[in-house]
Amino acid sequence: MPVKLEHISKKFGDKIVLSDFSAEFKDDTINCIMGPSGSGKTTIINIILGIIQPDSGKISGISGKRLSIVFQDDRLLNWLNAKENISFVCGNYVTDDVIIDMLERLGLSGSINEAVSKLSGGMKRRVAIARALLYPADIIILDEPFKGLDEETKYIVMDKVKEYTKGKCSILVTHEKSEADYFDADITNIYLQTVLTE
Amino acid sequence: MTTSITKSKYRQSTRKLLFAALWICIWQIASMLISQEILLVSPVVVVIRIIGLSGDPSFWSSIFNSFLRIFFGFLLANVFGVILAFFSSKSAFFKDFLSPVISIMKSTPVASFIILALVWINSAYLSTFISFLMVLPVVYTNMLAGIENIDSKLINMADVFKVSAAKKIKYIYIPSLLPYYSAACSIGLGFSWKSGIAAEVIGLPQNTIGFSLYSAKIFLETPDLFAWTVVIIIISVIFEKMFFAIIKLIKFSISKDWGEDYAG
Amino acid sequence: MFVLFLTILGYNIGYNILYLKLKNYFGRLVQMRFKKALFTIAAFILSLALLSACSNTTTTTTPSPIESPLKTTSANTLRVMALKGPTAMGMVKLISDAEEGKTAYNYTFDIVGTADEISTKIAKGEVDIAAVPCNLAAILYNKTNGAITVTNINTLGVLYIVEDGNTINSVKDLKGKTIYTTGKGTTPEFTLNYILTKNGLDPTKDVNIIYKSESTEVAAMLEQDTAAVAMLPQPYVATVLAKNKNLSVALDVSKEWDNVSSASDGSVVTGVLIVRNEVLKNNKTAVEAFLNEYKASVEYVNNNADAAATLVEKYGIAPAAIAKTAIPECNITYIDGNEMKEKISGYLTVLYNQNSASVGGKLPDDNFYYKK
Repeated sequence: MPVKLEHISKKFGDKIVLSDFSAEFKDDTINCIMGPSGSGKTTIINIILGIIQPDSGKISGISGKRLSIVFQDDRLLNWLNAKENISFVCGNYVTDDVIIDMLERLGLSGSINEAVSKLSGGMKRRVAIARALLYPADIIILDEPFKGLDEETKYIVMDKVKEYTKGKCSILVTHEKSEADYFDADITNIYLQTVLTE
Repeated sequence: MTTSITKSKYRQSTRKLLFAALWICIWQIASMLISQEILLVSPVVVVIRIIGLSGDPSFWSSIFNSFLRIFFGFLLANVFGVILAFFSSKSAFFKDFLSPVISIMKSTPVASFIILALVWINSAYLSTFISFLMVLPVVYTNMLAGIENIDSKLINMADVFKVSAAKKIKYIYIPSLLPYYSAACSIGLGFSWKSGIAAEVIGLPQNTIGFSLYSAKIFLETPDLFAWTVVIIIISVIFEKMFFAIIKLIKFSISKDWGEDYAG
Repeated sequence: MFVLFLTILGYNIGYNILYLKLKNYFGRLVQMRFKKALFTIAAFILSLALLSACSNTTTTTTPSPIESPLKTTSANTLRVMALKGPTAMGMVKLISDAEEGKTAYNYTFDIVGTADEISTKIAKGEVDIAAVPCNLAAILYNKTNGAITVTNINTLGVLYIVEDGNTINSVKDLKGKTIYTTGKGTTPEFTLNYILTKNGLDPTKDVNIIYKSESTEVAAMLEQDTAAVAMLPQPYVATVLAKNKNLSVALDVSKEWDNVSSASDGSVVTGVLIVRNEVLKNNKTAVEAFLNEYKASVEYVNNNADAAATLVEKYGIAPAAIAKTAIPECNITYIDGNEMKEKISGYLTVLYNQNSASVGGKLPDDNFYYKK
């Protein structure tokens, strides 16, 4: 069942963030939300997560499903190391070996037991991505996940994302058209409010 | 990399020792110049007196009594401080209600508390009460700040991933609060100990450190005065070291690689 | 041998620590001479300290009078200090006369609130004569290694048992009672214990003694617990009785002591006069004159309570109204010579037997007592 947002409106105070917004995010697809900053992408994500309620409109396809997310601001636990951060969330679902394997594949083999606070921005991001990918979810949201990654690592990571999002409804938020193309994504351009071909 | 760090730590502690030794020499010389036992005794006499006192069982029972009472007050303050901070974080009314009381507790001098408390409280429990009064506002204020500063974004993250409450407590709440708690205790430990002993000197419960200090004073037993003071300092240091060892243990049980950069 | 060992040890420790430290500071082995000089000096100081530590411990064990080298008094002025309280009351006429220039020599007077001040000034040689509690005199004698002498008793007993009612007629009547008092760990406690024990009562079992820090607290307790009794010193007894009309004096502790004591247990001695031996040596005539005038002052105070009370208030010891009732009950006196020695030594022995620290660790020898 796809995640459907129908005629969602939301305003904060006087500012209208979303006005009659509709979109469909399909299963086993990488759906992409594009649009300039401030166009309401974060609001859409928060509505899907259930943190904010829309003023009007309807969401469906979420109930009973597990959500995973790569936050724009990482949201890692600084006092734990990379492995512990992931097992904090995924510990009940995957073994330590799987976690270590994923971290190695993302190029973090030297930092597995380092406190996350000591890692660079790009490394932290990769840990957050690993965490999101390993979590057994039906819907996975990636909010500008590749921002700040250098070119080399970016493609390794994107590759892994492609691999692990198979079968899930993925919602990718990004500025970069090149990323959307890499994933053959279904693009929802908020600004134009058009839905391109399925 | 690590070897030069440990080397410089070694140098640092030898430096500290050397300067401490220098001060002891100064003390020794001063006591020799004054040569009046009532005014100043030499460090050697103090050490000998401590050794002498340690042979007396009432020495140990006094220490035990004082420590137990004061530590109990400290513990109570911790428990109440945390509970009150929790409620204050949930209710603005409660927080504002408590606010003037906490302010008064923070700004009233210990001596005032002791003298007032003597009227209502049995002198035997005075040190517990005073220790409690001194530590409570510290723990309360720090824990309240800690709770208010818990990163809700992290909690939000944990909720998205449907992490269990127990895990959230162990891996988010406790580590977030630990530095605040640690700060509260590093102040509170010294406070409780010092003010507790002061309470004992005024209230004079039988068989306590404060009573011994008082006796030493009225009988002009200056060596005893110094000896007991040194003992008090030693216990204070042990108390603190023990405490921080416990905090380290907690950190270790949460993560073996607890980030040192992370405050606390 | 021990000393030698310590010196060598000290030298070694100093050498090692300083060598390492300096090596870090200076990096290279440049300025070797400076370094050598530095750690030699330091090692020397360290061993000197250790050496003197040993010699210091030996001097404290062998008693020998220590001269206070510091201040000297001018030939004709004696500096006198007294503790605020009944022990200062006998002096008031003398203070007044000194102010008016009627005394043989110059005397300066200072009435202070705490005994610590007096003790330190005696130790430093900044005061010549002091009116102090009897046991403090013994402590000072011991702690200054015999640098003072006690010249006379100025106050015998000032403790009284006070009750609300009329049930206590003897010490034995105190059985089962709650007794509120001050002075825990010191003379009041020991005095009370003595009269109780001598009357067949166990202070720990047959009575409930509750110690408070201030006489005002004791007074407050009496208001609440009318069945209890209190032991208080003058002039607080007078103060408390003035405030609470239900209270009356039940027992005179000094009399009760004398009732049960043998001659060797002396009497209750609250206050004495002490003089520094150095002053005695250099200024004996002045001191003797002082003592004579002091004796006259005591007689005046005992015979002219009204006038004396005004002076007591004038010098900040107690309000005149209170002093008027208190003075006759304070046993202000002038006792010297053998009678003084008997009473004091007996009293000190009783104290010593309960806590040797209360008289300074050991009973003072004969040199403690002034002989003309």
